[in-house]
Amino acid sequence: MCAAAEPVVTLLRGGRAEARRASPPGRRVSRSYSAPYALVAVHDGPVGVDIEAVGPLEPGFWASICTPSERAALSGADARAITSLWSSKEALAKALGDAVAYDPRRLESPRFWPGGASGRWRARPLDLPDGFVGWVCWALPGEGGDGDRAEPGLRSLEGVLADADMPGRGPEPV
Amino acid sequence: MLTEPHPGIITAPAPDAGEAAGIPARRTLCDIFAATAAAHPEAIALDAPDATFTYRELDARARELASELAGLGVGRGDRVAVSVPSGTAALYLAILGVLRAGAAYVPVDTDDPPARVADILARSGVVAVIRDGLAIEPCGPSRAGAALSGPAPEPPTPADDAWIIFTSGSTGTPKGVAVTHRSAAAFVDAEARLWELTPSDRVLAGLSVGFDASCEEIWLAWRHGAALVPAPRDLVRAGVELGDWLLARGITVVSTVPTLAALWDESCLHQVRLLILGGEACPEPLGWRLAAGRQVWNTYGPTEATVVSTAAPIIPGEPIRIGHPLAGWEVAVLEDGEPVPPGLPGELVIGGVGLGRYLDPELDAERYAPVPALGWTRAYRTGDIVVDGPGGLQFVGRRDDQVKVGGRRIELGEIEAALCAVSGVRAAAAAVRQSAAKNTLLVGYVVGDVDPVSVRATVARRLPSGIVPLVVVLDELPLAPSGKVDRKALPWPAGGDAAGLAMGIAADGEPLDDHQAWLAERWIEQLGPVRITLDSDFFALGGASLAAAKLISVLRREYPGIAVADVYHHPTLRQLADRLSELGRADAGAGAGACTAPARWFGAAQIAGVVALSTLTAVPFVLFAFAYSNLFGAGLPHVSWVALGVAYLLLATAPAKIGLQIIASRVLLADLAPGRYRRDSWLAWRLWFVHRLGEATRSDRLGGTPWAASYARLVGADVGPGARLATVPEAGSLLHIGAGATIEAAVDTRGWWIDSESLVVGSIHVGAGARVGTRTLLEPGAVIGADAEIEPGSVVRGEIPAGERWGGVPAVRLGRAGEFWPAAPPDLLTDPHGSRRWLFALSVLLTDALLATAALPGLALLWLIGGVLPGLGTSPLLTAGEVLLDVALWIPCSAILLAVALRLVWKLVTPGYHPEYGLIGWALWFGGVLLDTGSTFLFAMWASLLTRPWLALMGIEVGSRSEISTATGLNPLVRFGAYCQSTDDIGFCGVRARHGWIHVDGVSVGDRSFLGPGAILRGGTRIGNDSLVGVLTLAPLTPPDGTSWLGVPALELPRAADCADPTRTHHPPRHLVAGRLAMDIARLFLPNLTVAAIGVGELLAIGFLARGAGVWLACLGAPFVLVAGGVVACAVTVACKWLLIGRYRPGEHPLWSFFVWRDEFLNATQEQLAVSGLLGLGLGTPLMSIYLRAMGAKVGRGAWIETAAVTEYEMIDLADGAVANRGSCLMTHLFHDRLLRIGPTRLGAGATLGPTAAVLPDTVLGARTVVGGHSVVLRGEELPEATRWVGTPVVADVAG
Repeated sequence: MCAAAEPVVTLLRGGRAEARRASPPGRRVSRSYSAPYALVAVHDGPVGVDIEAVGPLEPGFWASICTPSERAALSGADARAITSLWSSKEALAKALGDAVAYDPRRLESPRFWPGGASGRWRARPLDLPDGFVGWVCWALPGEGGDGDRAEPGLRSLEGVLADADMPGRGPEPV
Repeated sequence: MLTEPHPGIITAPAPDAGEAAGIPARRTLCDIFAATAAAHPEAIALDAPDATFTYRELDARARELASELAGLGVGRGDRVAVSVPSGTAALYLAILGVLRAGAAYVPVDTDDPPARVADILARSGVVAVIRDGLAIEPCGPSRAGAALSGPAPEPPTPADDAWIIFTSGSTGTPKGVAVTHRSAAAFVDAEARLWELTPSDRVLAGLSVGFDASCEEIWLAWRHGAALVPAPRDLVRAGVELGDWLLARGITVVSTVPTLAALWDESCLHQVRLLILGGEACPEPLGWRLAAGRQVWNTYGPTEATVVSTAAPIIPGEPIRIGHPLAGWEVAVLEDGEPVPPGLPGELVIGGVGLGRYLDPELDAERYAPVPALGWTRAYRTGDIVVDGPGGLQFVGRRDDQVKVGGRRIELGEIEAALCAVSGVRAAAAAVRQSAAKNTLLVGYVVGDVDPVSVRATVARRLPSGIVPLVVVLDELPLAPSGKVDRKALPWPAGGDAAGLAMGIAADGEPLDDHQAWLAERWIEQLGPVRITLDSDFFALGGASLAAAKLISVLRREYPGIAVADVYHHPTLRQLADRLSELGRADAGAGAGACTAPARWFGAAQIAGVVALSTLTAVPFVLFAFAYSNLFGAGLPHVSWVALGVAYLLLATAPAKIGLQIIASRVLLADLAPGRYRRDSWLAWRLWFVHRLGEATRSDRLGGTPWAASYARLVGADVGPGARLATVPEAGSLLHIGAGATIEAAVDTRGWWIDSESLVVGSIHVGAGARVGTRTLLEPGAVIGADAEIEPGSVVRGEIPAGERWGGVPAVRLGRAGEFWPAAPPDLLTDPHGSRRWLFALSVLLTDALLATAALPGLALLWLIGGVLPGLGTSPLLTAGEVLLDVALWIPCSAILLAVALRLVWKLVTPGYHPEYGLIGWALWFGGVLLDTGSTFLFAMWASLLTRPWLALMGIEVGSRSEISTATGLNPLVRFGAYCQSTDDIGFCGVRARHGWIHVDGVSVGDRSFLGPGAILRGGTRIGNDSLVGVLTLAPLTPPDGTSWLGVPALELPRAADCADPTRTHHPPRHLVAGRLAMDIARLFLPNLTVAAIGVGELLAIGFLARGAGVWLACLGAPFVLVAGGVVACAVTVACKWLLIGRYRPGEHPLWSFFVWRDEFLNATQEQLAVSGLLGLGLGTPLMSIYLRAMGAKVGRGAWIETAAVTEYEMIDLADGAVANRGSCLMTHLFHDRLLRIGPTRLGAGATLGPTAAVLPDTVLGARTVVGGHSVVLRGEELPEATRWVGTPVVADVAG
């Protein structure tokens, strides 16, 4: 099966309706919104995309979304860098499938991946209009597919988390 | 008036004989004053601070003023505003003057806002205003000089208005009420029938004349010739000081509001003989207190019916009523226009002589409408709810404020009284509010230095549930000019704004508790000014994921346990606030107060216990020494073979050990019961001792055999028939296992643990037919329902329902039990002939035979080089030399023999479902026993270059350059790729068991993959290449290549691998391989030889004792010899540490480095010398603390360290009373990417690691913080003080 190596990311002006219209059926899609824009990422494997507007942040906020190693690297960063860090984690968590299951303090940002790669995962920041930051993360199509689908052991537990009410979160398989 | 009054009409009670009866005569206030002035011309009429007048003088002055007014054209039917400062003589003079002029006076409070004053003047159509200094200011169309009335004022008739008083309407616009002389005079005369005053009385004039009760003050005095004594206005405002003033001015009669009266000391009131309360409901305690020393009356009346309509004396101990109508007043209690029977509540409607009228005709028609049922053409609807009873009318509440909660009518006065009773509350008012959702809310406003939450809690103890008000603390209560609380002016939020939230009120007016209100304010900070109600959803209000993260960042300052996921799982304000209060409780719950280190006697008693336990380990030494001497003549006193045999049977055989456990647990733990005890209690010592005794004597080999259940029953567990136990339960557990239940290997069923300063003991129930997966921790109090299934690596707390499948840390429901099992039980469910039992029993003997066989090559070598066999050398040195030589040969021989035996046994193992006690079940069990046999002296075979060939000999396939450390459950169905790393204590759980079945499946680990310490891989797990399974993680079954997983359940966590010099991690040059091989071989031999040398030394010492001091002293001394030997073993370990390592420092070291090899060498030394020699018995005792301090760790007083899984000692900082429960791990290093990374960990005072929990490097547990069983604190995480955590990785623990 020949699959595109990278997802296609589209920046739209609009909201949920526009983003939905831009989502082709039969592919893996991730969407993110930050007025007035919406991002749509389309891929043949797991994918997550996120857009955030850069705004003022409380002084202590950055520390609460950092892993211990990021805390050392990010001390003194500006709002844009911190928002970008958040966005990278959000995009990765969406790509991983269950964004809510991830505590940002425990999910390493792909920002620090050498060459934007970690195992089967790839990530890159997006070039967005001024005042916005965004990331897309995706998995290389490979054997084993999405892995855990056939697991009898803890499947239901993971199901509980996945079924939780999560407004506006996570990739929505179309 | 009707001649036949309706029975529903209530009138004044029939007067006593001799008193005036019927309706007071028609006359005017001027008539009353004239009569009094004539009767008491020289009595003081007015005693103001600025002037004093007798009745004669006052009469004259009033006549002058009236003439002046008349001169200005003012006369009957006119209205004159009186705007003179309160407390002055001029004010009362002006009132009297206007009345004498025939006009009605309109009081205007000089303190009123100008807008209100202008409004009143316009509405009342006054022709003149009398101001300060009695200056008359005409206004309106000028009638001055019209001289229509002439200079002589015309006196009013009873039909003329006496006053027009404005009340505050519900709409906020003042309503003018006109009262005729007829009504006013009737009121004065009616009151005169209640109270007799004399010219010697002095009546307080303290009320604003804008308030009609001032008329009561004035005319109480002027009706009887008493003195009216105005009080300065500021004094009235201050309230309290007025009390002293009453005393100084000799006041004897006071009419006032209860709020003001409450401020006065009893000492200020002792001259007051008549106190009339009115204007608001009087709290009973206040009324009763005041009534103790004087006549006190409670009066009631709306301005619309002339000051007072009903009155009742207050009698201490009796309910305070509003009583009976005044003479001439008629009242009725109506509901829907019809009178209600006595005893039922209804609206009070007033008729009779006192009715006034509204200036506004429309309003007048509405409020003074006829009551056809009573034949009244005009009556005033008060809006007040009353009940008529034997003692007169009783006030219930305002109709507007009337609320029904659960069918109960609420009386605001009751709530106010409850609020006032709270200490610190100076004043209170209750009001009824409506939320936007039309819910009725009770709000209590209080003034005082109090906290609304505690006030609410206090009144909740007094009031029925459901009518406990919201409490709002105000700086002051808004007062109407009347001195009453202005309920309408009490603040009420527009809704959802910051002020409203601060008061605890949501946008729809619903009350919020303190968590909710605080949280709502935090929401506003993130979301901007939005309307927040209890059911608002954070995301529906526009909160995006970043806002949620920012919110959590703020919330975490107060609630350290909160996580971003909490907002998603609890999206509404109500849910998230509930979550916060759960977390709040968790914070407060963890052992409040300072942590106290355990008592010193406890540690001393433990050390005594260790010596006592050494007696048991000394038995084989003593027996061996005497038997050897009997045989080969080592010079010891001869001990008869019978005595040795009996001693062996009684002290060293398996039945003997079981007997000891039974005796110890029955004697020491007869009173063991679930509960929370002190950690340094006598019970804690006994539990510790019996547990260590069990460790020293129990036979783990029985686990997984048909013997295990019998053994468990013998040591006190309640085990049903057909239960299969792969874990041997311990003595001293309150364990109940149902029939046919299955306990897999390494399940913690102990049922007690140390939780900070407490010992927690609980019983454990495993239902019939249930399955408990391997490496599961059953917390004290765990109850597993029948046929339920618990997945491996779980923590079970509380109750698991029957027939369900649960798993996780802590366990949650996963599905149905038996989903992945054959429906029918296997054929070989029971063992009818008991033959299987003996197969298992014989196998244990076979293991011992195997180890003995391994000694033969060494003995053969000794014989070849001239040793005198079967005895040993005659000199101690020679003996030691021979022993060491034999041990040196025995180690490789036993390793090889074990491996070959395992290879043969494991030939039987095939995947699939098999009967548990069938041949394959036996092979798996026996394999485990054989592997475990070498766990001590072959410890160094693991994580070495020798591991791969050794495993290959067993038939286990391991790829090149793979690093394999200790593991359980290995068999040839487990396969390792190349360059992978399997760290310490990995659980390969390819076998699961239930209902007599076992299921066997393979596990494979791909190239370059990593398994963190304590990871669990179930049967069927296929870890691909380049993957990582984290610490204590339950590996997913078939993860894709190149993925990293952490936790139970496992969550994929991509990570950036650390890159290091590959020649130091994966591809070492030849010289490094040679160096490591040398170190690995040294590691295998040196500690073992040291152990052997110490053993020989111990035997020699016992022999020396026997020769010198006799058999008995040798027996008594032997335990001390062994303890001394253990101390030597520890000392050697300590010396080794300082020589090999020096001090540990944070940093990184690649696998192929001398440092890592030295570190591994030290691990083996600790395991084989210190732990086996002494610490195994001394876990949980001060011996561990002493040892760790000697190794360089920082250990506070009274630390409970029940684990030897400690390595980089300088990285350990345990404060006083810190607790590391059994099997927990102070993991000060990680080995990802073949780099050993070292970092510190600190446990604060009383901080606790639960059983098998782990802390990773760079972690801090705050004082008294508790990490639950089988939980992991990830690298770099700091847990704040006094918090509870559980999970892999940890999250806030709200249930523990």
